[in-house]
Amino acid sequence: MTTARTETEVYRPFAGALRPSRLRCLPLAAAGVRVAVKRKLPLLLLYAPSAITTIVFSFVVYGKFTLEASIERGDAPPGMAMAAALAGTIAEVRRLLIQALMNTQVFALLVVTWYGSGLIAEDRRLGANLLYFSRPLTRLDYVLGKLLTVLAFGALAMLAPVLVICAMAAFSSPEWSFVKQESDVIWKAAAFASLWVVSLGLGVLALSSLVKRKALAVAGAFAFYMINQAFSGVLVALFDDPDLRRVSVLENFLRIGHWMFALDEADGHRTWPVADSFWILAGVNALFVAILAWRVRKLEVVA
Amino acid sequence: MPAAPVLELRDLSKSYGRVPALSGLTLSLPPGAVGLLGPNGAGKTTLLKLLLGLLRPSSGSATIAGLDPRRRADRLELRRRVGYMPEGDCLLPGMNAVEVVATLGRLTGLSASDAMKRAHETLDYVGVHEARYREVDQYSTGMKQRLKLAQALAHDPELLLLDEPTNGLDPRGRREMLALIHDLGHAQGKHVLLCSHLLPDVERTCGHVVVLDRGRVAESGRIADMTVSDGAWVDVDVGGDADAFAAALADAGVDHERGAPLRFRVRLPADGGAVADGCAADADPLFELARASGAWIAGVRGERSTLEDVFLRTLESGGDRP
Repeated sequence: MTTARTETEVYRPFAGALRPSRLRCLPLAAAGVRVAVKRKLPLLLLYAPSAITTIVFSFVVYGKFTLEASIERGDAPPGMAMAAALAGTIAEVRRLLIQALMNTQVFALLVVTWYGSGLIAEDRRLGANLLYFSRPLTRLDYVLGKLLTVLAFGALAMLAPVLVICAMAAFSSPEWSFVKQESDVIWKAAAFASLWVVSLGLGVLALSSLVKRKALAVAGAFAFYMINQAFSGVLVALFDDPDLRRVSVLENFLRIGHWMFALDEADGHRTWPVADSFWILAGVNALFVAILAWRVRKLEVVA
Repeated sequence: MPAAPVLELRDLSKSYGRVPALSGLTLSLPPGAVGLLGPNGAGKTTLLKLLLGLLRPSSGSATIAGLDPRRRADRLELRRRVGYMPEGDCLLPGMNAVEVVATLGRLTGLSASDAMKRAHETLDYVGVHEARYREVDQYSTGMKQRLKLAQALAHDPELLLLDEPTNGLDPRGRREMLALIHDLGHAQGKHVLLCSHLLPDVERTCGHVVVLDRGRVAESGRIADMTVSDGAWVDVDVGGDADAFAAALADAGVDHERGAPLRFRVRLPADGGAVADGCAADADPLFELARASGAWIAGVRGERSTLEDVFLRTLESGGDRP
């Protein structure tokens, strides 16, 4: 940003032309990201866990394949034994990747809540909606702009670590064996991370649109996810029915995650049909969208 | 030939629940600077928001340059052509002034480089200099008002809707803000709709005024026309036999007061018209009386009502005037 001053103090008509764009949400999203990254401390604190997870898991994955390569070069067991070792390594890396994904879920919740909570609440408090909606900006542009802002932060917290670990596994594995054998886990991890971040983003924005203070929206978001988790636990304890975990949004995400990655449900905690989880999450997200549509309409058309 | 109206209202009404804010406004506003005057609660801000499509009318319609804010495509187009300066503290959280103006410019359709250039140009114009890199949360009221004007100018709109732009300003800041508005409305060729409850602000910057009272148009017209008093009092300097002139005025039944030996304050006869802008052609009956009484008239100056007189008179008459 230049600091030059013209000091003219005369009005200069604009000689160029306005270029109406369909992607009006992008400048809004870019402005949101720019404002959010101005404060360095939250950035550092919130992304440190994700960064540490990424680094640790990347090294572990790298170590697994490097170890295997040394076995291949040295006096390692030939033939069948070597193939078995490689298969075991790849399976282990897959497990590590899923574990990293599940770990970053919580970090993404923190990040999305922190960066998304103020996006609409602060606009309401400071009357920014009047400035935005006196521009050629539709309500959809506004919501998309805010959602893209929050998705950018959420993706950085959850999607980026997974992709970095996948890249590490892909480049470290001999003959791209990880990509060839486990390509499904890469796109499934990306899909799961996207689903989680989009759902979180919609929820946090919906809560943000209901209040005028960021702190209230932060508290509301944590309350929403924690209370329904605790409530589901109480229901399970009361009725001794593990399927009542479905009441919790987080449990439904776990159910979908376990289904996607074919994880063992030996503990019998999440045995309900996965379709139920998809329906429940679709309903919850539809509720978030409805709240957003209602509140943002009130932001544009003020009465 | 009169210029095409910039803004047209047809039977425009808006109610908040059962409380009417605007009632059947029908009006055409000419190009140039127009003042929207009225006491608090008259419906000025409501009208501006209706024009931008920020409110939906209960009935009737409003168009700006032929664009109807009720239609989505028109609304987006007119927001490209209009700059809006809201009344209250409206800020984009966490940004400095350059970012605020550039971001809003981008949203209006400016490219990134044009938006940054326009941000600096408009901030220079409104007089926000070094402070432009401070977060706007730390700005004084005066700085915020200037910033709001700058953001309204970011995309160089044809029409400016300014809602109480001098609110909260100190005398110097107010003078500077009015100078900017005058410049925009007169030298820069912008159409300005200035919404204010401060009569001197409108009088100083606008050529045309609409007086709103309780949601109705109480008065509308050119300020120059409205401030000519109906009774047409004039100050008359005479030479020669002033006493004989006074007697002649009395004999003719003309209301007058003698302020100084050679100066009279005279109410022109009803058919004598008005003395506007220094033109004494309509004061012919006085010249006749002076000639007949052996005096001569050295000067005639029209005595104008202030806009305040018009405003108070309008409100006192309950807005029944046509």
